[in-house]
Amino acid sequence: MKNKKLWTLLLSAAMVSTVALAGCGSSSSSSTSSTTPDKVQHMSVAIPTTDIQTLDPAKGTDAYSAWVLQETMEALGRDEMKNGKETVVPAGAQSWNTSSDGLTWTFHLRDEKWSDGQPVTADQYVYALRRADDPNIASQYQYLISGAGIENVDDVYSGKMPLDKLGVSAPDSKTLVIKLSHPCAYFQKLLNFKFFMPQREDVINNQGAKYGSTASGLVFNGPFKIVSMESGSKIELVKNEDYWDKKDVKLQQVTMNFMGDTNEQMNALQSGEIDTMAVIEKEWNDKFSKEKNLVHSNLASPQTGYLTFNFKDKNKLMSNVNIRKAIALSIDRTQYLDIAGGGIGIPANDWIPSDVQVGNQLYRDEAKSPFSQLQGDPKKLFSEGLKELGMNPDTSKITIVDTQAGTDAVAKKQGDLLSAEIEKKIGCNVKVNYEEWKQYLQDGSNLNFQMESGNFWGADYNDPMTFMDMWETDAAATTNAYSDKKYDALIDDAKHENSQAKRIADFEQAEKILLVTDVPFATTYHPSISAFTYNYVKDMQILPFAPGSELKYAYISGKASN
Amino acid sequence: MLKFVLKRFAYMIMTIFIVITATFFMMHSIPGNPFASPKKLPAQTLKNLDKKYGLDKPLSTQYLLFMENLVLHGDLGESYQYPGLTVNSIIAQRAPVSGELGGEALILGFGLGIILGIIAAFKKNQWQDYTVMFIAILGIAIPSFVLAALLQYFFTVKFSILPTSGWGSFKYTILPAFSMALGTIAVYARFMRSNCIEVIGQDYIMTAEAKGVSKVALVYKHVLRNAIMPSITILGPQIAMIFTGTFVIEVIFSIPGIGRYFVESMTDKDYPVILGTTIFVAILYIVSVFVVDVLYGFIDPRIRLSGDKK
Repeated sequence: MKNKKLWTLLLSAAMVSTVALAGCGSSSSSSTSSTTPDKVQHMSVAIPTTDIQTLDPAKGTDAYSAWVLQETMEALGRDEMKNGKETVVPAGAQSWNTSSDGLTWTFHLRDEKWSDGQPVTADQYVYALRRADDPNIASQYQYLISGAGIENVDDVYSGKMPLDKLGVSAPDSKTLVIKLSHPCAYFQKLLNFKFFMPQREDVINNQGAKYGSTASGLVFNGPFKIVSMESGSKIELVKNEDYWDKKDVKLQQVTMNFMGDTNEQMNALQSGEIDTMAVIEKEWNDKFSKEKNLVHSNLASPQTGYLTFNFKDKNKLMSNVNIRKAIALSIDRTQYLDIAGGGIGIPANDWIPSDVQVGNQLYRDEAKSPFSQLQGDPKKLFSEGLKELGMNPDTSKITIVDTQAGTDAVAKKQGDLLSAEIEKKIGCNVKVNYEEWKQYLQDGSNLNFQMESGNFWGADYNDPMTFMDMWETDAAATTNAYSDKKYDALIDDAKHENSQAKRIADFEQAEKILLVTDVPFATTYHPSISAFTYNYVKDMQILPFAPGSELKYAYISGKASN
Repeated sequence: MLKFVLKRFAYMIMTIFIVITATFFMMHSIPGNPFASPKKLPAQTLKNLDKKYGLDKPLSTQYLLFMENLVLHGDLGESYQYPGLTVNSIIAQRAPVSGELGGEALILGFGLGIILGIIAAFKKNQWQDYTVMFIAILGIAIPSFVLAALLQYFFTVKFSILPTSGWGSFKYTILPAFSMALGTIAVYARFMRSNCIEVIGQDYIMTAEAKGVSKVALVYKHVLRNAIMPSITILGPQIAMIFTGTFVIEVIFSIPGIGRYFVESMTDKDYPVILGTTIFVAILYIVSVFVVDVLYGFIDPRIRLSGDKK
């Protein structure tokens, strides 16, 4: 009797506790971020190229070295997802404030240490910015700080003034002051760029001429540090225990594998050798979409494909606005996206892409695209244009020459599609010249073309200005010789204006001039980022305006121990 | 013999010098600016870049500066595309990796090729012969990158036996070496087969057989030594060329070799790397041909004798 009672008690106790525990379990699994991290926190990613250019933040133009720097260094700001919006949050700088005229930016730096124990100080940021503006280093991204308007930035770069005249100073070791010669409404959006990472003069002098080509002897102040870099093979990172925010970094080890071949990347993702990868081909996109343990992320990328019309065209054709309008209207953007972009993207019925922000708002929420206002029959418009030029209005007598970027199969498909569309809708002939990338760029700068296709413009920072200042008279002189005083005035105003509302109005009018009135170029499509990540990777952020993916907060949970 | 060697050496130096000069001027005549960027660089940036790399000087001055650096300091310059990376270090670090991989592929290709060729010759017009010739045709017809992609899929995805890519221990070399070897097997198999058949038909082979020499001794002492001559001719330069790497295979398998620098430097218009790699290949090739010529003298007494007679 006694035993039976004891047993029943034990059994019911066991049942109750099981139900209680099961209840706890189910409530915690409903939110992904409270999933328990695995014991092994090792992530493997692919860098989709054969090698990075350099680890010197002042040099190098590829997004891949920028990605490695983003994970191993800490700039004044860091690009992150905050409340569902992509924002540049304070990182190396704890906070900052601007003077009322917007010309003086004061950064209050965090207490930070380098991976060799040395403190991060304000003069290291000054040194870094001076290097970026040094004419002997000839940094190709200098135009970014030039556009931001740092005091004397161009005079220093042309050698007219010494480096110490650049408008950056360190009144004390924890304060950095940047002086601008005009207000820059998007300055905050630049703060995660590699120029705003501190640099160590002693380390760089030690490295000498080979600085940037090897990882040994370098120091880091970011979430991870490099333990080994085997060029052309892989980079090994480990968590940086000296990082100021190390409590938020859960990964212990990251392997970044160089993979320059698309098939290689896809095979590696399939076999689980890498944990995440962006896909650019339709067949792989479809295939991976069906895999149950791969999570698909589809994000708009702030890029626009476009065709350029040469205003200095020797045959005068492209100098006529009706001819340009006719060609712009004849493009079937959906088909173009399918053929050139594998269907991964959005047809571009605008110039400024959808995820670009003005201040904290999405630009496209505040200003609708004027694209639909461009109307007309391509053939009629083209004939009009021919008549205005004093030529025979019969379109079939005309041959347009298009210079297409690239000589591979995809380039050929683009050229074929453009020719077919123009020939069908306008009735003239099209001859396509396929050129290797560097020659294409050279001919472009020399204005040695009639019409150019296959180019893409990508955002350098999260503000419409990065898409608009390229069409100002000075900048467009080596693009297509486009020049419009009204356009220049609008962009100039937006450059010096602090009120975002006024800037939005400026950009709205300017975009209309580009897409409807003058049509100096024709858009094609916006590519998207289509990435697949294994479901055991949590909290990795894919940020369209930042290079690669942000691994700082990522961790592994639920990976089968194999 | 010494006169012969010295004369050939002098010709070697002259040839290398001509190759360097021709490459330098040809390279600069191709349209395209190394710093052309889709981000339409402002004029001052281009000016600073040209000044930094000495591209604003007249071409003849640039040539003389380059030759001065090369001859007096052995310095091939710094890459434009990879700032901080010198051409010398590219060659010193990457070439041995390519050499190791290429060497493995070559040993595999040469060894198997010779053996298969001998078998095919002795079993002429039988099933062994046809099998070897079929393998040879596959090896010549299938591009190495197609084979590489197939092997990569089967052995790393379908059956996860080997790593997809990278460089480290022996297992990383298996798939790439195999992708490269099949073509080599094909070439040497066919070569050996036709040469063996020719040698087998000679009178002295019949004499040896009649004398009762064993099959193995026959093959080794008589057939091999005579039939292998043409294969050695192409083997020499091929050994040298393995240090130039195979671009496609190295990219597909992420091997830190020198191959991609040959190809990518052209599209990047990276002048120092183009020149450096070309000079490297030229020297390797010319030296290897020289070595083969000297080796000939040892392998084939007929050549040595005829040389002396002259």
